Amino acid sequence: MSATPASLDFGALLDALRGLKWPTRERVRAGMPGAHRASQRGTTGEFTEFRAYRQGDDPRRIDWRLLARSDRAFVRVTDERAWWPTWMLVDASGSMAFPPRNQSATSAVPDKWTMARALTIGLAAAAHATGDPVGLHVALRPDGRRLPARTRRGTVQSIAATLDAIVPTGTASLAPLIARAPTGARLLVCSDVLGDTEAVLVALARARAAGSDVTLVHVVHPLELDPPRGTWLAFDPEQDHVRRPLTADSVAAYKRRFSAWRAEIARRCLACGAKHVEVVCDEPPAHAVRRIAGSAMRGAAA
Amino acid sequence: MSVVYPWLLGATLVSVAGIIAAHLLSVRRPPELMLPTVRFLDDRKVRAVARATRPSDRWLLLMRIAALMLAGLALAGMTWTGGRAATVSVVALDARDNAAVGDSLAWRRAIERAMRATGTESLPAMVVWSNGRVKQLNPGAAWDSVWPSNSGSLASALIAARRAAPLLAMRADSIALHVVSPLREDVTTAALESVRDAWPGRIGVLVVAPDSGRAADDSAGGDAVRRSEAGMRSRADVRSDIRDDVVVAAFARWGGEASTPARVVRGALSADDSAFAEAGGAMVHWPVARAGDAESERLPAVVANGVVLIGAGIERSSSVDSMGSAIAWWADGSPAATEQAYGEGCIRTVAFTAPGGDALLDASARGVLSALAAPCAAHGALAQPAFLSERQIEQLTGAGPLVSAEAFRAQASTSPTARWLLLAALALLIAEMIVRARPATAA
Repeated sequence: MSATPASLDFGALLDALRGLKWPTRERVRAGMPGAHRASQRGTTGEFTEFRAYRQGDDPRRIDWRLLARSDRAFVRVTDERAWWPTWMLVDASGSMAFPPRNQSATSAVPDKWTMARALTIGLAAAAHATGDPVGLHVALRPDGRRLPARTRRGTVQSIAATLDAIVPTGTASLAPLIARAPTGARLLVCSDVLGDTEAVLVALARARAAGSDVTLVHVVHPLELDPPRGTWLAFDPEQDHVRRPLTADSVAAYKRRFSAWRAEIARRCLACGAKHVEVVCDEPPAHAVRRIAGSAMRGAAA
Repeated sequence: MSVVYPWLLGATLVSVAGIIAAHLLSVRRPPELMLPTVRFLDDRKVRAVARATRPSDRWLLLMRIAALMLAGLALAGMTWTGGRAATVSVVALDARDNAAVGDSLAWRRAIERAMRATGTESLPAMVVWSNGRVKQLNPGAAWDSVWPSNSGSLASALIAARRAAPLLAMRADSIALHVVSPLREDVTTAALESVRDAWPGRIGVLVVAPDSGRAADDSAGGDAVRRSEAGMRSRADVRSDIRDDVVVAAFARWGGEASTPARVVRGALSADDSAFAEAGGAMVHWPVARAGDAESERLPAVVANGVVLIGAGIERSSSVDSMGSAIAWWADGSPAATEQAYGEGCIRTVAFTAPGGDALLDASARGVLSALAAPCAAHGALAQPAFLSERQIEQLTGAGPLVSAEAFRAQASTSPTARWLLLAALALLIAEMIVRARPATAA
């Protein structure tokens, strides 16, 4: 799949992700009937196990055949299936618009915002295909964008249209969006975590503690991993006063610090139970989506 | 090319070297790169000094060097000396009597003679004496441009020449000042002595006889010739009944051309003579003294036009006309010849006898003869002006060599070359600002 910074073929992306489901990594809370296994045992037809009858159990759930064979009372235990609202929290700060077109005119690697859009739309499509309501929160100055979680047809298209209309700029705080997100839901945070990093990590930990399934998709561009050669005066798109020289002798230290920082982000996410996925923009978006959703499937299978 | 202040040129060269060094040690701001992860870079100084083997911003460097060199050359007083002459002349020309001279060739000859004497090849600067203005003499310049005036003085001409000297000093190594004038006494003023002392060198004096049209040498001898030749332009018609009258021969020898005719009558005047005088002629009645009528003088000398005529046989022959004005005098100051206006002309009465021998044919007789044969312009005009004495001329000439141009170069505050150099430097600085304001390209 070819991708350019200017445009991304989302139609082809959705075709490549057709049939992809995005199950949760663990049992979900009881809720509206859905596709995810709920932590609550119920009386649905899908048998799970037998359990010894305890006082208070519904006598109608006693397996009479087993009682006749073993002269002991067992009840049939079944799993509940529930939906799992999924919220896509997307960072649209100025750092996501990297690299600008004058710096990537000859590169086939999409910029971070294009990659974030592709991941968001692809995972939203997977969640929607699973039957979950999918909502969208975009951290954007001055006013964010919000689409309520819906399961109806056209939700993914609405999300794509909303993201297409956004131009990342300025500084936007992602932590308040995470804090205001509904608890007991699946939160997908798609960001480069270069804004309010500490606040985001704290918010992720709190959301995780509140019962949400948190996944942090850390978007990284290859030019951030390996800056261009030469002598440059690098500046922060969100903090223009931060200007530092980028020279050949400073690249090694830069890479070392950047790598350590990313490892620290992953460690903090792992520590709080959140899932951390680093996506480099030169990775095909469909592959990245399958990697994110697939790891959840493996987790669910385990 | 020469400069007035070489040390300024040296300072300019040092500054140029500094600019080149600054371009070799340029402090450049690198091109900007947007990098969201800039926080992981070392927080160092954004600007860094880097040495290079080739200068940066070569166009800016060239423009800065050119502007600095042009300004330095202008301030150092640079002048082009490719055609510098050894000597340049300033001619102070007395134009007050130019109209009276009527022969511009005399002035031109005097100037050319002075230039040859000083080895000057280039045309001199002309200080027209009438009002002290400085005028450049062009080849073949019409002498009508030399305006006559009766004002001005030699002192003002010397001051004007001194003002012109700094600019001329750029063209030559020495400056020669020539004064071309009849040098009448009225050219002097009280300030002449102090003004003359302000000219640091010798002054060439060329005395020009206003009426003869010939230039004399810078000497008192020429002055004597000038005075004796004054007033010789006359044509006299002598009528005499005396056989071999020396008066006839004298006027025949010294008579010249004149616009007004003169008639000399040695006998009694007739009605025709009166009509001649009334029509504007100069009627000279020089009667022959009868025996016993003449009175011998203790000093037989008559002065006219500043020239003394001495000769045996000069005696008082008759009494002079008391109503007329004297044109010749005895040694005691009494009039020896008078002039009386008559109609458009005049009648002159000579009250002395002609000297014997060849006295009237000698050069000393020209003063008397010219006074008698001169036109009847006016009674006052017949009086001869006084001239500077030899001592005054020597004081004016002074001693020593010609003035070195170095003495005036420092006074040349601005020359045309300096102005153009400064303008070019200013234009280059403006261009440098425009080039510098353009955005920098990527490294």
